[in-house]
Amino acid sequence: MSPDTTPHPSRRPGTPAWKGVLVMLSTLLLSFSIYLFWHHNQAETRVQAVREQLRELFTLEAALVGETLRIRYGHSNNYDLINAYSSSEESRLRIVQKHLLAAPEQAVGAAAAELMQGLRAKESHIDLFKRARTIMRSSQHALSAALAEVLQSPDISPPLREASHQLQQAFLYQHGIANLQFLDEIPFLVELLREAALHGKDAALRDHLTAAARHADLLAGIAPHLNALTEKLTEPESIIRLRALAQRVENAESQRQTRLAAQQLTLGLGLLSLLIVLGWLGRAYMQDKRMASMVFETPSVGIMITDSHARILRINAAFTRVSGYSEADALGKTPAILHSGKHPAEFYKAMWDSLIQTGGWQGELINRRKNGELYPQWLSILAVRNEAGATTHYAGVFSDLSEIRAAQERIEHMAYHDALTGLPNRTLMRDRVEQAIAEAKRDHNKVALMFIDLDNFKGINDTLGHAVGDILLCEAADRIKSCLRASDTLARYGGDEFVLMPRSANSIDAVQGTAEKLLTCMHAPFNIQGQMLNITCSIGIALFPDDAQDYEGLMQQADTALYRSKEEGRDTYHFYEEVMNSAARERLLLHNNLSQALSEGEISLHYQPRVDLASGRILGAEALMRWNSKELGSVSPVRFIPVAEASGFIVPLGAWALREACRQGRIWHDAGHTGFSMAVNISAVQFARADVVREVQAALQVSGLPPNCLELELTESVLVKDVEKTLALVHALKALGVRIAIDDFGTGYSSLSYLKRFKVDILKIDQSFVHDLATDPDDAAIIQAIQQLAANLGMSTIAEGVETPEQQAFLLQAGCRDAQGYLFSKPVTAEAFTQLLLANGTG
Amino acid sequence: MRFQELRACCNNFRGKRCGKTGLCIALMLWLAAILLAWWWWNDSHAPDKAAGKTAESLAPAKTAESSLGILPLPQSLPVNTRLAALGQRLFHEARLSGNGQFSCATCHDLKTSGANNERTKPGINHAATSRNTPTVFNAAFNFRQFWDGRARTLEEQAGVPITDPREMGAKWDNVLDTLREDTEYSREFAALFANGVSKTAVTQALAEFERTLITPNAPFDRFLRGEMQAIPVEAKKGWVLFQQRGCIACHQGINIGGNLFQVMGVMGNFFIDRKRDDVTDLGRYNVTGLEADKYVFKVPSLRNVILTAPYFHDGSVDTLVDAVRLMGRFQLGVELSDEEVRQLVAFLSSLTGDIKADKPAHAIAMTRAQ
Repeated sequence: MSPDTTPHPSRRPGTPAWKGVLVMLSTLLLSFSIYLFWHHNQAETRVQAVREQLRELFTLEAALVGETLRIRYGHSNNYDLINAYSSSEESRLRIVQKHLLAAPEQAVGAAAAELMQGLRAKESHIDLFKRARTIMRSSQHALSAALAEVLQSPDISPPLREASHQLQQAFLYQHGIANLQFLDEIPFLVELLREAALHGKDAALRDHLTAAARHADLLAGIAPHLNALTEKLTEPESIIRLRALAQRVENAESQRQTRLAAQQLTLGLGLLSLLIVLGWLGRAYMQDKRMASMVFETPSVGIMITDSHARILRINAAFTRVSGYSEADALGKTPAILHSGKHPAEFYKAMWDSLIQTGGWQGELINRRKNGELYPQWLSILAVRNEAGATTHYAGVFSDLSEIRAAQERIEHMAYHDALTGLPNRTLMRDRVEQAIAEAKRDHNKVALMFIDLDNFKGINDTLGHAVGDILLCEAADRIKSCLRASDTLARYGGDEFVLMPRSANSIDAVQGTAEKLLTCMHAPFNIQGQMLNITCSIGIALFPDDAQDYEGLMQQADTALYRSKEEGRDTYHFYEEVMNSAARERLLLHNNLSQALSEGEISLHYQPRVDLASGRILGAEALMRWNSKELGSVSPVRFIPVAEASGFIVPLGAWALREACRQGRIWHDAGHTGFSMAVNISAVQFARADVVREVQAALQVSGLPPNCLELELTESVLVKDVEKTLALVHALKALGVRIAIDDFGTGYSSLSYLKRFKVDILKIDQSFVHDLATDPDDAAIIQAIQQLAANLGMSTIAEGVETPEQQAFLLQAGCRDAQGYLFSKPVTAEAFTQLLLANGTG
Repeated sequence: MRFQELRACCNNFRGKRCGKTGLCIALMLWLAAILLAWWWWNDSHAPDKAAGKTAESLAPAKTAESSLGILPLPQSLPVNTRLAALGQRLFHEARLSGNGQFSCATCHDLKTSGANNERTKPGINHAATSRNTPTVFNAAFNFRQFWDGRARTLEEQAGVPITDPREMGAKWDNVLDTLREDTEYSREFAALFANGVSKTAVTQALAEFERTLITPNAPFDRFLRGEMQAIPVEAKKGWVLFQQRGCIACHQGINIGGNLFQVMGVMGNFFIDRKRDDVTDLGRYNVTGLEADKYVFKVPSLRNVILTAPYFHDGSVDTLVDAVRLMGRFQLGVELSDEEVRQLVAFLSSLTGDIKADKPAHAIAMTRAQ
């Protein structure tokens, strides 16, 4: 180091030449490494972009398969999304191709071109798919409408009626899961319709028959076509091509990286740059890993890859989600772990035959999840072959159909079970009890019916809220169940009431024992959301044949006995005794007053408007009874109608209501409201008397109300009692020209065949469904299902209990046209109703 | 630049007596350069704004939702306003035609319906085109363009009529030359495109402008958004019928159509009574050559349909009432009653959205440029 710090430009440097060379070399190396960085940078950006697009492509591919299935099964109602997926796939692939152009790797380019070709082909399949699905949808509408008209015609022959029913079923079914079992019969059915159209007398009927035949014919042609297209679009072909492309991109990329590393090494960059390169290599390696797994993790479609012996090599997250088997469970096993035992061995044999012969199989099958649950799935399997043609792998892609199925099953389950507790509902209970009574009659045994009511439940509901009340109900149901035998039948009767039928009632002691056990087990407090609640129950017991001969009687006597238990301070049980209770006294009081009430004019009719949902225009009214007693004050129909039914007084009362409603209806009709319809409730008891037809006829004659303005509302329970007799009555009523509506539809027995046989005109959607529309997607689905059902059977619907504009908007969207509820008006007196009509400006 | 700096540095070192210090400084510089390179590398890996935008526009629209039959239009689509303003000028530019007399706006009248009310509008050679002019309004929501869907994008479509001898009948070279000679145009193109005036640039600008030609807030859209009184009772009945009769099977989605192809005459031969033997009646067949695509057309959007008479690909039907009736007969196989047709037309009338006043393109472009 020189002490002289002044620069001497003219002096030659005394430093050795190698240092200068080193500086020069460093500079050169530096510039070269900068160039390499730049070059690598370009390639890296490109690869990143390609990887991102490929990842998106995998996601889109899965989404496309999902949307295809949604469209096919009617869960999707427009084509915007499938178009968006399809065009997005293409634009992304085009970006990939653009990036690949900059680095011409032949194999990669070819794979991309092949994929593009595949996408183009798929796009034209999507076009055909949309066309076919559209025709199917509109033709189904037209066919249903035409068949409904045909079936309404009174003079069609039984074979023709049968054919129409079959056609209806064949294509209703097509709405759902593919099943072409009817397809072979359709040409025959269509021929039958055509034949009838040729020889029919009624011109309108002939038109309907011709239309139905045309649409059925069209549908029969299009259904298999549509199924084939669905299968085509859900094949994993594109996924496999996409994987091939991703694989090649990654191969090319690792080759490039190798080259790069070699260049850098041979250039002898310093340790630092080497470290950086190594660091970067490590990073790239990690990305590689991540990419490979991304490829596989398409979100909604389960994928499994097996080797040629069907041993599972890889599964994705969706596989685990659907089947419940984790990688640790599944790898190395064969897909037989999923077997449900629901398909015969031939089914699997056929699958393997197809796999071996054609290299692919797809279809619907039922598998079992790890937790033992069964689920339906749509599965496509592809055999992956090497150049020599030997199968090396199988790739299985499946989507879970259980959600689609669950929606169908929910409706079925609802008919027989209580939504909250999952216990059988009163419909199912009635079936079981009636069955038990029939058996007991034959074997001279006894049947016991226990009516269980939670004490002070209303208080809990009011103070702690319905949410806590609902939880408590479920826990109480569980508690009760826990002290029963599996063969005892427990049902939720409604509110906080349960009904229990022990398996055997031959020993009174055993029945008593059960009741005591129930009381005791309720004594332990319930822990609901951290609160300790004490609740007891009261029980009333009635026995067949001692106390009553049928279900109704037993229920009534058990109810009486229950009142006795309540009266005696609750938390106890009573058997029914002949002379009993204050409940009976109250009934007596009501009964005595009731018979005078009518003659004293204490009972009046109120009218609730039924309106056109879209315009709010009043279309009709439902007549409802009100009792304003001098002695008892205002008595709710919920209280006095059961008494009237039990005593038979409902018969004169109902007849009076019918006449009064018709009289009032005529007044409004004469005032110019000609399209006005008057709905009157007919009680089950009233219906059971054979003179209901004559009563209706008389009411119409006396009042002069046109029959088509009168609507009789029956409950579902009326229809299922003594079907043949009811059928005759309903037909006789319909022959008068009046219309039949089913009240509270959806809460009871919802049998398609009954509705069809009874030729019901109107379904009144129960208010419980309307009430929770905004919050409960199940209710929304159920309303849509009812709506579709009604449309398919040619019935109309009325939504009950509409209270908010949101409910109104939803119902309109769902295609519901008529409604009643507090949103429009509560039930009002005839005078007030007249004012409403005037304000409404109808007529 | 770096090279020169470095060399200058090196010269400096040589001038110094202390070689070791020089070497140290060189090493430090070397390190600094590596750091610089690191920074550069990392920076270029930061999310690229342009790339981000592309990715966004590639994603399926957020409004896409397939459980509903019909969706309301958004208030606007994201556009580059300067590019759209250029497109607007071009849309009205008669110099894009062979004789300097036809612009896009000649057939697509933006003041009325985005189309015209002639069956088939004659082009430059007075030869009638063979198809009815489809409206340019909401074309951005169609999944393909033209009656037979032969263009996949607005950009692809925009170039076709310019050179079609039956329409604007121009040559691209002449059009591009004219635009290059115009100083205002060439300035705008240069500001927006690296290559200045080009065919791609012209079609991109036109397409961008067309993305602004959407008609939101139709009474029915407002109804779908919850304004129950936005449409009259008759239209509500029509809406119920529209669903029940199955019209909605084809005419669905955000554009109430425009998202699939369908045979004209599903339930009967539509063409048998038409005294017309035109190859364009074959529709999509002309594009794909597939037998199955004969007589297949793009299902048109029903938005603003009351304004776009006459109807169908050949403009053969003058009134909406007749069009609805024929659709019922040939597509659905039903004979609609007079009342049903009336209600359906009432519903269709509620699909007319806001048609924005078409400001003089020139004014917009000039204010943008300044």
